[in-house]
Amino acid sequence: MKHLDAGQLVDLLDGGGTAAAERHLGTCARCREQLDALKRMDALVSSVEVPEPSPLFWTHLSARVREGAAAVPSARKGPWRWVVPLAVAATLLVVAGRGWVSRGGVESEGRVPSAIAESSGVERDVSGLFAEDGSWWILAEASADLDWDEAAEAGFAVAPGAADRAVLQLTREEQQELVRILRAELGDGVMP
Amino acid sequence: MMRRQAVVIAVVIMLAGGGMVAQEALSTQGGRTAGPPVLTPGEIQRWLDAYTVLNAAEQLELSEDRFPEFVARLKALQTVRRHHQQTRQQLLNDLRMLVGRPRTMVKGDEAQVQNRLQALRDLEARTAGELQKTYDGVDELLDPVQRARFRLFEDEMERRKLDLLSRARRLNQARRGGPG
Repeated sequence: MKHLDAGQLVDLLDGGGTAAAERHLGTCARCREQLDALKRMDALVSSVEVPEPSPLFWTHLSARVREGAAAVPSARKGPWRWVVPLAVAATLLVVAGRGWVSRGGVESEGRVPSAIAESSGVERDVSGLFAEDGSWWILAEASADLDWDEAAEAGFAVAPGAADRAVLQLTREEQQELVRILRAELGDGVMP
Repeated sequence: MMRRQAVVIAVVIMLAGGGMVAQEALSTQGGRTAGPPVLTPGEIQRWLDAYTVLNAAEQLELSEDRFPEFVARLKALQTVRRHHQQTRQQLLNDLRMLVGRPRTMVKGDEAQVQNRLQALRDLEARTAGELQKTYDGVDELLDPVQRARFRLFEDEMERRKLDLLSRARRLNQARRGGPG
């Protein structure tokens, strides 16, 4: 029998594997190792306490998963066809978990902003200080549709500097777009 | 009500020292030779600061004579806050490297952990005092109603900035012809 594919491994993880898959697992160290890795990841994700998010959050999440799945070339057939959607979903879950935890007061690994040493007149290089972390974008993306008053009542608060954290996550093109928007907001008369 | 000219001057001051690079980059982008120029975090920050100042002028209804001083003190407050965030993140990164993978701990690491924890405690204590001082400096220029407005304004600005970031992202996606 060939090695178990991702779908079969997930079935086994959920306790719904076929008898043939169970038998194969008994004789194949590689597949056992893969299943153990999946269990560890599952345990890791389960160990994160995630408060029940708003319905909007799940709308965004499912849209992202669909986008991720749609981005996979249609020619991708065979046992690995599940890997990319699963990876996208797993990554989003982990990132989302970390994002929600960070809101609860636990520091995420997020890139925090550009603390500039303005007082000394020296601009510090912060580009390498903050690790990649998409969780701030979940916050920023959600902000577009969020009812802030309701969010505040639910204990959701945006601390000063929260937006700064997301700034460093922008791509060069997005940075340009942001500056264009700011110029428009500031008005042409403001510019010297 | 303050004359717009005073606000303009204040905003220009906020942009001085780097923001002009961004403006120049944008204005010369017509050539599109080597992709969009890189903006430093400091440059983007200055644009956001200018946006904050402009909105503060409108919402707090400060008198013209107090506005320049208000801008200077607001900038000091933001500098303290950012410096705290950056230093704190650096210390957390250090701690993460030291204790993130227990198997890699070597002799002497525990002392370093203690050192970073102490630095973190010192930073929090020091920053609390500095923030209080800079807040007091801003408050000195404001009457009680303006002080209340300023607290609400800070909260509101953070939301607006997040909205701007989100808009920038979406506009860029639209410009590129789809979700990114």
